[in-house]
Amino acid sequence: MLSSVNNAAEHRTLVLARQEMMSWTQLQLEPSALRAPDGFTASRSIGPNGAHLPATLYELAQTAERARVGGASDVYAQVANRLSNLVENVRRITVDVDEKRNLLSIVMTDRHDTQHVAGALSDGTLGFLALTVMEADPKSRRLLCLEEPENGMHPLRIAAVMELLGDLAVDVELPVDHDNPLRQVIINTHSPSVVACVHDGALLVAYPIHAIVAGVEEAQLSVRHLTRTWRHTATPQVLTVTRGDLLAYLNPFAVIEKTSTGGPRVGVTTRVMDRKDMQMFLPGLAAERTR
Amino acid sequence: MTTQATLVTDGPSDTVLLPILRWLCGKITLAAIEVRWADLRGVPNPPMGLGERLTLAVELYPCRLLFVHRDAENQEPRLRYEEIWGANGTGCSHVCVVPVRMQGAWLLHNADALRRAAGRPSSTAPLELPTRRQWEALPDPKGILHQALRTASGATGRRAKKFSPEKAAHRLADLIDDWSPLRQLPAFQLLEADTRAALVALDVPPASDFP
Repeated sequence: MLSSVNNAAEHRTLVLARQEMMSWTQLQLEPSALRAPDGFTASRSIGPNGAHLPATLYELAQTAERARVGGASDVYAQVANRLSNLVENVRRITVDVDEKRNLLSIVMTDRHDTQHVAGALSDGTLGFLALTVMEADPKSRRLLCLEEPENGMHPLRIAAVMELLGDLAVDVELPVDHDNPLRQVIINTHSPSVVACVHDGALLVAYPIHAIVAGVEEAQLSVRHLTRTWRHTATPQVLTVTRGDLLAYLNPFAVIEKTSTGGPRVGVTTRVMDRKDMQMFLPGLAAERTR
Repeated sequence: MTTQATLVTDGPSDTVLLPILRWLCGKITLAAIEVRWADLRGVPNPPMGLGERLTLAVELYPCRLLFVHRDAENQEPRLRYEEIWGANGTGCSHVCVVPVRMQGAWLLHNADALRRAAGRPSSTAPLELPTRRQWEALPDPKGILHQALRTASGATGRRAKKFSPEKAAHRLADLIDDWSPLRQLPAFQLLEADTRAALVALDVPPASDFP
Protein backbone atom coordinates (compact mmCIF):
# COMPACT_ATOMS: atom_id res chain seq x y z
CA MET A 1 0.00 0.00 0.00
CA LEU A 2 2.77 2.41 0.94
CA SER A 3 4.76 1.67 -2.20
CA SER A 4 1.85 2.60 -4.46
CA VAL A 5 1.00 5.88 -2.76
CA ASN A 6 2.26 8.87 -4.66
CA ASN A 7 -0.34 11.56 -4.38
CA ALA A 8 0.67 13.74 -1.48
CA ALA A 9 -2.50 15.78 -1.67
CA GLU A 10 -4.68 12.75 -1.09
CA HIS A 11 -2.46 10.69 1.16
CA ARG A 12 -0.09 13.12 2.82
CA THR A 13 0.47 11.08 5.96
CA LEU A 14 1.20 7.93 4.00
CA VAL A 15 3.63 9.74 1.71
CA LEU A 16 5.41 11.20 4.71
CA ALA A 17 5.50 7.78 6.35
CA ARG A 18 7.02 6.27 3.23
CA GLN A 19 9.64 9.00 2.99
CA GLU A 20 10.53 8.44 6.62
CA MET A 21 10.81 4.68 6.21
CA MET A 22 12.98 5.09 3.11
CA SER A 23 15.51 6.88 5.30
CA TRP A 24 15.78 3.90 7.64
CA THR A 25 19.24 2.54 7.18
CA GLN A 26 20.65 -0.76 8.19
CA LEU A 27 24.33 -0.18 8.53
CA GLN A 28 26.34 -3.11 7.18
CA LEU A 29 29.85 -1.85 6.90
CA GLU A 30 31.90 -3.52 4.20
CA PRO A 31 35.67 -3.20 4.42
CA SER A 32 36.09 -2.65 0.67
CA ALA A 33 33.56 0.19 0.69
CA LEU A 34 35.14 1.72 3.81
CA ARG A 35 38.58 1.66 2.23
CA ALA A 36 37.59 3.03 -1.18
CA PRO A 37 38.71 6.56 -2.11
CA ASP A 38 36.11 8.93 -3.53
CA GLY A 39 36.01 11.03 -6.65
CA PHE A 40 35.47 14.75 -6.21
CA THR A 41 31.80 14.45 -7.11
CA ALA A 42 31.00 11.51 -4.86
CA SER A 43 28.08 11.60 -2.46
CA ARG A 44 28.74 13.52 0.74
CA SER A 45 26.91 11.09 3.01
CA ILE A 46 28.14 7.77 4.32
CA GLY A 47 26.21 4.94 2.68
CA PRO A 48 24.79 1.86 4.42
CA ASN A 49 27.88 -0.13 3.45
CA GLY A 50 30.25 2.56 4.69
CA ALA A 51 30.96 4.06 1.29
CA HIS A 52 31.88 7.72 0.87
CA LEU A 53 33.73 8.09 4.13
CA PRO A 54 36.43 10.35 2.60
CA ALA A 55 33.97 12.58 0.71
CA THR A 56 31.72 12.96 3.76
CA LEU A 57 34.56 13.88 6.09
CA TYR A 58 36.06 16.20 3.50
CA GLU A 59 32.78 18.05 3.10
CA LEU A 60 32.40 18.45 6.87
CA ALA A 61 35.90 19.91 7.02
CA GLN A 62 35.37 22.24 4.07
CA THR A 63 32.05 23.46 5.42
CA ALA A 64 33.72 24.30 8.72
CA GLU A 65 36.59 26.01 6.91
CA ARG A 66 34.16 28.22 4.97
CA ALA A 67 32.52 29.21 8.26
CA ARG A 68 35.81 30.01 9.96
CA VAL A 69 39.48 29.87 8.99
CA GLY A 70 40.96 26.83 10.69
CA GLY A 71 37.59 25.11 10.86
CA ALA A 72 38.82 22.14 8.83
CA SER A 73 41.65 21.39 11.26
CA ASP A 74 39.12 21.56 14.10
CA VAL A 75 36.87 18.99 12.43
CA TYR A 76 39.78 16.65 11.82
CA ALA A 77 40.98 17.09 15.43
CA GLN A 78 37.52 16.33 16.82
CA VAL A 79 37.23 13.18 14.71
CA ALA A 80 40.72 12.02 15.69
CA ASN A 81 40.03 12.70 19.37
CA ARG A 82 36.80 10.71 19.24
CA LEU A 83 38.42 7.86 17.33
CA SER A 84 41.24 7.70 19.87
CA ASN A 85 38.65 6.62 22.49
CA LEU A 86 38.11 3.50 20.41
CA VAL A 87 41.42 2.80 18.70
CA GLU A 88 44.99 3.01 19.94
CA ASN A 89 47.69 5.14 18.44
CA VAL A 90 45.65 7.68 16.50
CA ARG A 91 47.34 11.04 16.28
CA ARG A 92 45.66 12.68 13.29
CA ILE A 93 42.99 11.99 10.68
CA THR A 94 42.87 13.95 7.44
CA VAL A 95 41.52 13.60 3.94
CA ASP A 96 44.18 13.65 1.26
CA VAL A 97 43.19 15.54 -1.91
CA ASP A 98 44.81 14.17 -5.06
CA GLU A 99 44.19 16.91 -7.66
CA LYS A 100 45.81 14.94 -10.44
CA ARG A 101 43.61 11.87 -10.10
CA ASN A 102 40.61 13.71 -8.62
CA LEU A 103 40.59 11.47 -5.59
CA LEU A 104 39.80 11.99 -1.91
CA SER A 105 41.21 9.44 0.53
CA ILE A 106 41.52 8.98 4.27
CA VAL A 107 44.96 9.24 5.85
CA MET A 108 45.71 8.42 9.48
CA THR A 109 48.89 9.57 11.21
CA ASP A 110 50.02 7.68 14.28
CA ARG A 111 51.96 8.93 17.31
CA HIS A 112 55.25 8.17 15.58
CA ASP A 113 54.24 10.46 12.68
CA THR A 114 53.86 7.50 10.35
CA GLN A 115 51.08 7.96 7.82
CA HIS A 116 48.71 5.10 7.04
CA VAL A 117 46.44 5.16 4.01
CA ALA A 118 42.93 3.75 4.32
CA GLY A 119 44.00 0.54 2.62
CA ALA A 120 46.39 -0.16 5.49
CA LEU A 121 43.90 0.41 8.30
CA SER A 122 42.04 -2.44 9.94
CA ASP A 123 38.36 -3.12 9.30
CA GLY A 124 37.60 -2.24 12.90
CA THR A 125 39.40 1.10 12.75
CA LEU A 126 37.62 2.09 9.57
CA GLY A 127 34.28 1.00 10.98
CA PHE A 128 34.78 3.14 14.08
CA LEU A 129 35.89 6.03 11.88
CA ALA A 130 32.69 5.73 9.87
CA LEU A 131 30.59 5.90 13.04
CA THR A 132 32.62 8.84 14.31
CA VAL A 133 32.13 10.77 11.07
CA MET A 134 28.41 9.95 11.07
CA GLU A 135 28.16 11.33 14.59
CA ALA A 136 29.83 14.55 13.44
CA ASP A 137 27.65 14.89 10.31
CA PRO A 138 24.55 17.02 10.96
CA LYS A 139 23.14 16.15 7.51
CA SER A 140 22.60 12.59 8.59
CA ARG A 141 19.06 12.53 9.99
CA ARG A 142 17.78 9.02 9.92
CA LEU A 143 16.93 5.86 11.76
CA LEU A 144 20.07 3.82 11.90
CA CYS A 145 19.99 0.08 12.53
CA LEU A 146 23.08 -1.80 13.52
CA GLU A 147 23.50 -5.50 14.25
CA GLU A 148 25.64 -6.65 17.14
CA PRO A 149 28.03 -3.70 17.37
CA GLU A 150 30.02 -5.71 19.91
CA ASN A 151 31.42 -8.05 17.25
CA GLY A 152 35.16 -7.90 16.89
CA MET A 153 35.49 -5.59 19.87
CA HIS A 154 37.63 -5.80 22.99
CA PRO A 155 35.38 -5.84 26.05
CA LEU A 156 36.95 -2.69 27.45
CA ARG A 157 36.05 -0.78 24.29
CA ILE A 158 32.40 -1.61 24.37
CA ALA A 159 31.43 1.20 26.73
CA ALA A 160 33.12 3.72 24.42
CA VAL A 161 31.24 2.42 21.39
CA MET A 162 27.96 2.49 23.29
CA GLU A 163 28.65 6.08 24.23
CA LEU A 164 29.30 6.91 20.57
CA LEU A 165 26.07 5.25 19.51
CA GLY A 166 24.24 7.17 22.22
CA ASP A 167 25.78 10.40 20.96
CA LEU A 168 24.71 9.50 17.42
CA ALA A 169 21.10 9.48 18.58
CA VAL A 170 19.24 12.70 19.25
CA ASP A 171 19.32 14.05 22.79
CA VAL A 172 15.65 14.32 23.67
CA GLU A 173 16.34 16.79 26.45
CA LEU A 174 17.71 19.41 24.06
CA PRO A 175 16.13 21.14 21.05
CA VAL A 176 16.77 19.61 17.64
CA ASP A 177 19.38 21.71 15.86
CA HIS A 178 22.64 21.58 13.95
CA ASP A 179 24.45 20.00 16.89
CA ASN A 180 21.55 17.76 17.82
CA PRO A 181 20.11 16.35 14.60
CA LEU A 182 17.05 14.16 14.70
CA ARG A 183 18.43 10.64 14.62
CA GLN A 184 17.50 7.37 16.20
CA VAL A 185 19.69 4.33 16.62
CA ILE A 186 18.45 0.78 17.01
CA ILE A 187 20.85 -2.05 17.71
CA ASN A 188 20.44 -5.68 18.52
CA THR A 189 22.85 -7.50 20.77
CA HIS A 190 23.71 -10.70 22.58
CA SER A 191 26.52 -9.13 24.55
CA PRO A 192 26.42 -8.99 28.35
CA SER A 193 28.61 -5.87 28.22
CA VAL A 194 26.24 -4.05 25.89
CA VAL A 195 23.22 -5.00 28.01
CA ALA A 196 25.00 -3.73 31.11
CA CYS A 197 25.97 -0.43 29.42
CA VAL A 198 22.73 0.68 27.76
CA HIS A 199 20.42 3.02 29.60
CA ASP A 200 17.59 1.08 31.18
CA GLY A 201 14.95 3.03 29.28
CA ALA A 202 16.56 2.02 26.01
CA LEU A 203 16.56 -1.73 26.65
CA LEU A 204 13.97 -3.99 25.09
CA VAL A 205 14.24 -7.72 25.55
CA ALA A 206 12.76 -9.98 22.92
CA TYR A 207 12.30 -13.58 23.83
CA PRO A 208 10.07 -16.46 22.98
CA ILE A 209 7.43 -17.34 25.50
CA HIS A 210 5.05 -20.21 25.68
CA ALA A 211 1.65 -18.91 26.49
CA ILE A 212 -1.47 -20.91 27.04
CA VAL A 213 -4.32 -19.18 25.30
CA ALA A 214 -7.78 -20.69 25.38
CA GLY A 215 -6.25 -23.96 26.47
CA VAL A 216 -3.84 -24.06 23.53
CA GLU A 217 -0.12 -23.63 23.86
CA GLU A 218 1.24 -20.93 21.59
CA ALA A 219 4.76 -19.83 20.89
CA GLN A 220 4.94 -16.07 20.89
CA LEU A 221 7.64 -13.48 20.62
CA SER A 222 7.38 -11.02 23.44
CA VAL A 223 9.17 -7.69 23.54
CA ARG A 224 9.36 -6.34 27.06
CA HIS A 225 10.94 -3.41 28.86
CA LEU A 226 12.23 -2.85 32.38
CA THR A 227 10.18 -1.48 35.24
CA ARG A 228 10.69 2.10 36.42
CA THR A 229 11.36 3.38 32.91
CA TRP A 230 9.43 5.79 30.74
CA ARG A 231 8.03 2.89 28.74
CA HIS A 232 6.60 1.32 31.85
CA THR A 233 5.09 4.63 32.88
CA ALA A 234 3.56 4.99 29.44
CA THR A 235 2.21 1.43 29.26
CA PRO A 236 1.90 0.06 32.79
CA GLN A 237 -0.31 -2.79 31.67
CA VAL A 238 2.40 -4.35 29.50
CA LEU A 239 4.33 -7.22 31.07
CA THR A 240 7.87 -6.26 31.96
CA VAL A 241 11.26 -7.98 31.79
CA THR A 242 12.04 -9.69 35.03
CA ARG A 243 15.43 -9.30 36.62
CA GLY A 244 15.72 -13.05 36.53
CA ASP A 245 15.57 -12.87 32.75
CA LEU A 246 18.61 -10.64 32.75
CA LEU A 247 20.74 -12.75 35.08
CA ALA A 248 22.41 -14.65 32.26
CA TYR A 249 23.49 -11.33 30.78
CA LEU A 250 24.59 -9.67 33.97
CA ASN A 251 26.51 -12.62 35.36
CA PRO A 252 27.14 -14.97 32.42
CA PHE A 253 29.75 -17.08 34.15
CA ALA A 254 27.58 -17.97 37.09
CA VAL A 255 25.05 -19.79 34.92
CA ILE A 256 27.64 -21.90 33.12
CA GLU A 257 27.91 -25.30 34.75
CA LYS A 258 31.06 -25.54 36.78
CA THR A 259 33.38 -28.47 36.61
CA SER A 260 35.80 -29.23 39.42
CA THR A 261 38.38 -26.54 39.86
CA GLY A 262 41.73 -27.71 38.76
CA GLY A 263 45.03 -26.83 37.23
CA PRO A 264 47.08 -25.38 36.00
CA ARG A 265 49.11 -28.52 35.95
CA VAL A 266 51.59 -29.14 33.23
CA GLY A 267 50.17 -31.30 30.48
CA VAL A 268 46.59 -31.03 31.74
CA THR A 269 44.21 -28.58 30.08
CA THR A 270 41.21 -27.11 31.76
CA ARG A 271 38.63 -24.50 30.87
CA VAL A 272 39.90 -20.99 31.48
CA MET A 273 37.11 -20.29 33.97
CA ASP A 274 37.94 -23.44 35.94
CA ARG A 275 41.58 -22.56 36.54
CA LYS A 276 42.33 -22.09 40.20
CA ASP A 277 44.33 -18.94 39.52
CA MET A 278 41.36 -17.36 37.69
CA GLN A 279 38.82 -17.87 40.47
CA MET A 280 39.51 -14.51 41.99
CA PHE A 281 38.10 -12.77 38.90
CA LEU A 282 34.80 -14.53 38.67
CA PRO A 283 31.99 -12.69 40.39
CA GLY A 284 29.47 -14.61 42.44
CA LEU A 285 31.88 -17.37 43.30
CA ALA A 286 33.94 -17.84 46.43
CA ALA A 287 36.96 -15.64 45.77
CA GLU A 288 40.02 -17.29 47.18
CA ARG A 289 43.03 -15.43 46.06
CA THR A 290 46.07 -17.51 45.40
CA ARG A 291 49.24 -16.01 46.74
CA MET B 1 65.20 -8.66 27.07
CA THR B 2 62.36 -6.24 27.78
CA THR B 3 62.22 -4.84 31.30
CA GLN B 4 58.62 -4.78 32.44
CA ALA B 5 57.43 -2.07 34.79
CA THR B 6 53.97 -1.74 36.33
CA LEU B 7 52.33 1.54 37.27
CA VAL B 8 49.95 1.50 40.24
CA THR B 9 47.83 4.62 40.58
CA ASP B 10 45.29 6.09 42.94
CA GLY B 11 42.68 5.87 40.20
CA PRO B 12 42.06 5.45 36.44
CA SER B 13 42.33 9.18 35.75
CA ASP B 14 45.97 9.06 36.85
CA THR B 15 46.87 6.94 33.84
CA VAL B 16 47.86 10.26 32.26
CA LEU B 17 51.17 9.35 33.92
CA LEU B 18 51.79 6.53 31.43
CA PRO B 19 52.97 8.63 28.47
CA ILE B 20 55.11 10.68 30.87
CA LEU B 21 56.81 7.64 32.37
CA ARG B 22 57.31 6.06 28.97
CA TRP B 23 58.93 9.26 27.72
CA LEU B 24 61.15 9.44 30.79
CA CYS B 25 62.25 5.81 30.54
CA GLY B 26 62.92 6.24 26.85
CA LYS B 27 65.22 9.13 27.65
CA ILE B 28 67.05 7.41 30.49
CA THR B 29 67.81 4.20 28.64
CA LEU B 30 67.89 2.82 25.13
CA ALA B 31 67.10 -0.68 26.40
CA ALA B 32 63.62 -2.11 25.82
CA ILE B 33 61.18 -1.07 28.57
CA GLU B 34 57.49 -1.76 28.82
CA VAL B 35 55.42 0.30 31.26
CA ARG B 36 51.90 -0.98 31.88
CA TRP B 37 49.13 0.22 34.12
CA ALA B 38 47.83 -2.18 36.76
CA ASP B 39 44.13 -2.11 35.94
CA LEU B 40 42.53 -3.69 38.99
CA ARG B 41 38.99 -2.69 38.11
CA GLY B 42 38.14 -6.14 36.76
CA VAL B 43 38.79 -7.79 40.12
CA PRO B 44 35.63 -8.30 42.18
CA ASN B 45 36.10 -6.71 45.63
CA PRO B 46 39.42 -5.09 44.84
CA PRO B 47 41.56 -4.29 47.89
CA MET B 48 41.58 -0.77 49.19
CA GLY B 49 44.87 -0.61 51.08
CA LEU B 50 48.00 0.39 49.20
CA GLY B 51 50.00 -2.64 50.36
CA GLU B 52 47.35 -5.08 49.16
CA ARG B 53 46.97 -3.24 45.87
CA LEU B 54 50.70 -3.44 45.25
CA THR B 55 50.69 -7.16 45.99
CA LEU B 56 47.77 -7.73 43.63
CA ALA B 57 49.37 -5.56 40.95
CA VAL B 58 52.58 -7.58 40.97
CA GLU B 59 50.59 -10.80 40.93
CA LEU B 60 48.45 -9.81 37.94
CA TYR B 61 51.00 -7.68 36.09
CA PRO B 62 54.37 -9.25 36.90
CA CYS B 63 57.26 -6.84 36.61
CA ARG B 64 60.80 -6.01 37.69
CA LEU B 65 59.91 -2.48 38.73
CA LEU B 66 56.87 -0.81 40.25
CA PHE B 67 55.98 2.82 39.67
CA VAL B 68 53.77 3.70 42.61
CA HIS B 69 51.71 6.84 42.28
CA ARG B 70 50.29 8.73 45.21
CA ASP B 71 49.38 12.36 44.71
CA ALA B 72 50.89 14.63 47.34
CA GLU B 73 47.60 16.55 47.63
CA ASN B 74 48.10 18.94 50.52
CA GLN B 75 50.69 16.87 52.33
CA GLU B 76 54.45 16.94 52.31
CA PRO B 77 55.57 14.59 49.52
CA ARG B 78 57.98 13.00 52.04
CA LEU B 79 55.00 11.50 53.88
CA ARG B 80 53.82 9.80 50.69
CA TYR B 81 57.29 8.40 50.11
CA GLU B 82 57.28 6.94 53.60
CA GLU B 83 53.81 5.51 53.05
CA ILE B 84 54.89 3.77 49.85
CA TRP B 85 58.08 2.40 51.40
CA GLY B 86 56.07 0.99 54.28
CA ALA B 87 53.42 -0.52 52.04
CA ASN B 88 55.60 -2.31 49.51
CA GLY B 89 55.99 -5.86 50.76
CA THR B 90 56.14 -7.36 47.28
CA GLY B 91 59.89 -7.78 47.06
CA CYS B 92 59.79 -5.85 43.79
CA SER B 93 61.73 -2.59 43.68
CA HIS B 94 59.72 0.58 43.26
CA VAL B 95 59.93 4.21 42.22
CA CYS B 96 57.65 6.66 44.01
CA VAL B 97 55.65 8.93 41.72
CA VAL B 98 54.48 11.77 43.91
CA PRO B 99 53.58 14.80 41.83
CA VAL B 100 52.56 18.02 43.46
CA ARG B 101 49.25 19.17 41.99
CA MET B 102 49.74 16.67 39.20
CA GLN B 103 46.84 16.94 36.88
CA GLY B 104 47.31 20.65 36.62
CA ALA B 105 51.03 21.03 37.00
CA TRP B 106 52.14 18.31 34.63
CA LEU B 107 49.61 18.89 31.85
CA LEU B 108 49.48 22.64 31.46
CA HIS B 109 52.75 23.27 29.65
CA ASN B 110 51.64 22.78 26.06
CA ALA B 111 48.87 25.10 24.90
CA ASP B 112 48.86 23.75 21.32
CA ALA B 113 48.32 20.19 22.52
CA LEU B 114 45.65 21.41 24.91
CA ARG B 115 43.74 23.10 22.09
CA ARG B 116 44.04 19.98 19.93
CA ALA B 117 42.87 17.73 22.77
CA ALA B 118 39.88 20.04 23.17
CA GLY B 119 39.08 19.67 19.46
CA ARG B 120 39.85 23.25 18.43
CA PRO B 121 43.47 23.55 17.34
CA SER B 122 42.71 26.62 15.21
CA SER B 123 41.40 28.68 18.10
CA THR B 124 43.28 31.71 19.34
CA ALA B 125 40.95 32.49 22.23
CA PRO B 126 42.99 33.30 25.33
CA LEU B 127 43.31 30.37 27.72
CA GLU B 128 44.87 32.19 30.67
CA LEU B 129 46.99 29.23 31.61
CA PRO B 130 49.04 29.60 34.79
CA THR B 131 52.74 30.28 34.37
CA ARG B 132 55.37 27.68 35.12
CA ARG B 133 56.12 29.19 38.51
CA GLN B 134 52.50 28.82 39.49
CA TRP B 135 52.10 25.18 38.47
CA GLU B 136 52.92 23.53 41.76
CA ALA B 137 51.01 26.07 43.83
CA LEU B 138 47.63 25.85 42.13
CA PRO B 139 44.75 25.42 44.59
CA ASP B 140 42.63 23.30 42.25
CA PRO B 141 44.83 22.10 39.38
CA LYS B 142 42.38 19.53 38.06
CA GLY B 143 39.63 22.15 38.00
CA ILE B 144 41.89 24.61 36.20
CA LEU B 145 42.89 21.99 33.64
CA HIS B 146 39.30 20.95 33.00
CA GLN B 147 38.18 24.56 32.69
CA ALA B 148 41.03 25.32 30.28
CA LEU B 149 39.97 22.35 28.16
CA ARG B 150 36.34 23.46 28.17
CA THR B 151 37.32 27.01 27.23
CA ALA B 152 39.60 25.73 24.48
CA SER B 153 36.83 23.54 23.08
CA GLY B 154 34.50 26.48 22.50
CA ALA B 155 31.69 23.94 22.60
CA THR B 156 28.09 25.04 23.00
CA GLY B 157 24.74 23.29 23.19
CA ARG B 158 24.91 19.52 22.80
CA ARG B 159 28.62 19.61 21.98
CA ALA B 160 29.22 21.16 25.38
CA LYS B 161 27.08 18.50 27.04
CA LYS B 162 29.02 15.74 25.28
CA PHE B 163 32.41 17.25 26.02
CA SER B 164 34.30 15.24 28.62
CA PRO B 165 37.24 17.08 30.20
CA GLU B 166 38.44 13.81 31.73
CA LYS B 167 38.74 12.19 28.32
CA ALA B 168 40.26 15.35 26.90
CA ALA B 169 42.90 15.31 29.66
CA HIS B 170 43.87 11.77 28.67
CA ARG B 171 43.97 12.80 25.03
CA LEU B 172 46.17 15.75 26.01
CA ALA B 173 48.69 13.42 27.65
CA ASP B 174 48.69 11.27 24.51
CA LEU B 175 49.31 14.24 22.23
CA ILE B 176 52.36 15.57 24.03
CA ASP B 177 55.65 14.21 22.72
CA ASP B 178 58.03 16.35 24.71
CA TRP B 179 57.79 16.40 28.49
CA SER B 180 61.09 18.17 29.03
CA PRO B 181 59.40 21.32 30.46
CA LEU B 182 58.60 19.18 33.51
CA ARG B 183 62.30 18.74 34.27
CA GLN B 184 62.22 22.11 35.96
CA LEU B 185 59.77 20.90 38.59
CA PRO B 186 61.28 19.57 41.82
CA ALA B 187 58.81 16.67 42.00
CA PHE B 188 59.72 15.58 38.48
CA GLN B 189 63.43 15.95 39.15
CA LEU B 190 63.05 13.55 42.05
CA LEU B 191 61.12 11.10 39.86
CA GLU B 192 63.81 11.27 37.22
CA ALA B 193 66.63 10.68 39.71
CA ASP B 194 64.80 7.78 41.36
CA THR B 195 63.97 6.16 38.02
CA ARG B 196 67.55 6.46 36.87
CA ALA B 197 68.80 4.86 40.07
CA ALA B 198 66.24 2.07 39.93
CA LEU B 199 67.10 1.14 36.37
CA VAL B 200 70.81 1.12 37.14
CA ALA B 201 70.11 -1.17 40.10
CA LEU B 202 68.30 -3.52 37.71
CA ASP B 203 71.32 -3.51 35.38
CA VAL B 204 69.44 -1.65 32.69
CA PRO B 205 72.12 0.28 30.79
CA PRO B 206 71.61 4.06 30.79
CA ALA B 207 71.67 6.19 27.66
CA SER B 208 74.54 8.64 27.71
CA ASP B 209 72.93 11.62 26.00
CA PHE B 210 70.19 12.56 28.49
CA PRO B 211 72.05 14.54 31.14
